[in-house]
Amino acid sequence: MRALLLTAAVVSTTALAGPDAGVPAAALTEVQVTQALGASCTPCHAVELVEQQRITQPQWLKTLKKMKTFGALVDDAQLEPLAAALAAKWNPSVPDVVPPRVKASEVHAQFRPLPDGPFAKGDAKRGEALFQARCAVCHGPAATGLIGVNLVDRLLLYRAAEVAATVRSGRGVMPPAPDLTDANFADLLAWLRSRKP
Amino acid sequence: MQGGAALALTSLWPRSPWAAPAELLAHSPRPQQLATPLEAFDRLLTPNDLFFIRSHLTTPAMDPTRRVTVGGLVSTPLELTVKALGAFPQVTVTAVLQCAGNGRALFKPRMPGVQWVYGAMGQATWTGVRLGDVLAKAGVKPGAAHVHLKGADAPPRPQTPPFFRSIPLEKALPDTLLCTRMNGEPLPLEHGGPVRVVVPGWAGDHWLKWLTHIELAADELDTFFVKTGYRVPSEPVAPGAAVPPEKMIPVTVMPVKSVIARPLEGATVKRGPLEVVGVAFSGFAGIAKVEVSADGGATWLPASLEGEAGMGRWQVFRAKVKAESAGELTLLSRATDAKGNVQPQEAAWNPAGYHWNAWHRVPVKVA
Repeated sequence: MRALLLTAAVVSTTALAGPDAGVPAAALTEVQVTQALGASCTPCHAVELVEQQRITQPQWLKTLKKMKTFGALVDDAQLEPLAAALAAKWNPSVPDVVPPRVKASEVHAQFRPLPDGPFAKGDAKRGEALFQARCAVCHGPAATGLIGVNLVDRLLLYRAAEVAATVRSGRGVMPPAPDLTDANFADLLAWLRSRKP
Repeated sequence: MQGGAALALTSLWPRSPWAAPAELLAHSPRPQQLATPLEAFDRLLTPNDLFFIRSHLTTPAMDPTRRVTVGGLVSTPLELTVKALGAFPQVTVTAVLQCAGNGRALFKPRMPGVQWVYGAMGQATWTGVRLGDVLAKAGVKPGAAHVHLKGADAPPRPQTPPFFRSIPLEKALPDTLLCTRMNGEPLPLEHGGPVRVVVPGWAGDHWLKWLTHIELAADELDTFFVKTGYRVPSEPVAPGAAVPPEKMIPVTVMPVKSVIARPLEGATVKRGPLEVVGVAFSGFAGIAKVEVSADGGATWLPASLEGEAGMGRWQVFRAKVKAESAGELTLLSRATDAKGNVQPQEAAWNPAGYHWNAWHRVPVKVA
């Protein structure tokens, strides 16, 4: 499953590194970089954290290696070409990002629960069965994270409408699940909220 | 000081209403990393809604029933709810919370990390109980030397190192609080509610959010963000130098620093008297003086100080300089603490970009 997802989302290792180790890898295309960011970086953090870096290629390589030890999904053979591509886009000679000003009230609202609305009153038992069938392969049978992120004791469980929208449209390596109904999400959330760390 | 005193103290201090719409600088939406705008550093207390937000991993659920367990080398392990913490004597301290990486974007050569400039700091009143009082109830066993602090800031994946902290018992006992109120309000989730750790004078990485476990141990906790992350060279190094791990020590006490909130960089100011306002603090001692220069550091004018001096606490400074002639003018601020530490012209470069504290340099245009 893991290999399948990687193949689908990331350009293949062979294409990046070249069949012969002595041949320098071809530069990644813009599309390949975007795909790599989606597969390796943005499952755990926003792309803004990548775009604001102003570091050299060796620093990018070191960072990618560190992120791999932290659980980022990236093939070893992909590290060098990806570091080169990121350094070409974001290096010390590129002007700094000016962080956008956002309304403080909107920021704080993100830390508050949303009303459950149609996602209320789920059945935890049904939710568990559905989770094991549809989500556990990536999020782990205990929902503590594997390829997908840890879902236990998280604020996002109390922002049901956002969870439903993200899961239905997919994000990064998470495929879209437009078939899941409001009642399905209610069941999933009932089970996930019952899990203790 | 008993609970409730924070509000009385606050009301004595000069506070002007926040005129502009409250805004934060968005460095990252996930996890949320948001900075306070520089112009907010003209007052003793940073309002909660303008206070910077630094989240290491993903935000846990707001759980008012979350318990703090106390274990390890103690005689009586404890399990404390927020209500149970309320039974201990309540203490309020005023202290600066500053991310260790505040100012990282100003170092050259650059390093990876959240590219904070000035805004990853703020001052609030923090109300809670002394960690020392809680540990006295639990009974610290002989041999305990470190307090391991763990929170609900869970890693997204099993391979991701947890964000735990380890504080030596000698720092934890006199100064550290388990905080449940910020500026008089219940501690908001984004700031670590219901319970976070407050370590006055020390960098923000020690101020663990969403506290769940306190464990007494003989040794420092052996996790990535203790043993590898959040470390600085034990001695000054040349900018860009690679520093071997055995020469790295934990980032702890905040060095003396001042920041100018008004005027802002690039502002157009009128000829004549010009008021320069900002804040200054040091993790070593209270502020002794702040000086401002309007001539590139050739001459320095003393600033007046507002608020109470104290370790890890900021005071507001004000100085009147003269904008003599039209054209470019660069303002500088330089703080000195009561132990004689002077804010340096250049910050000490270090591999992870911690503790930026160079003179604040603010070029303006005189009309």
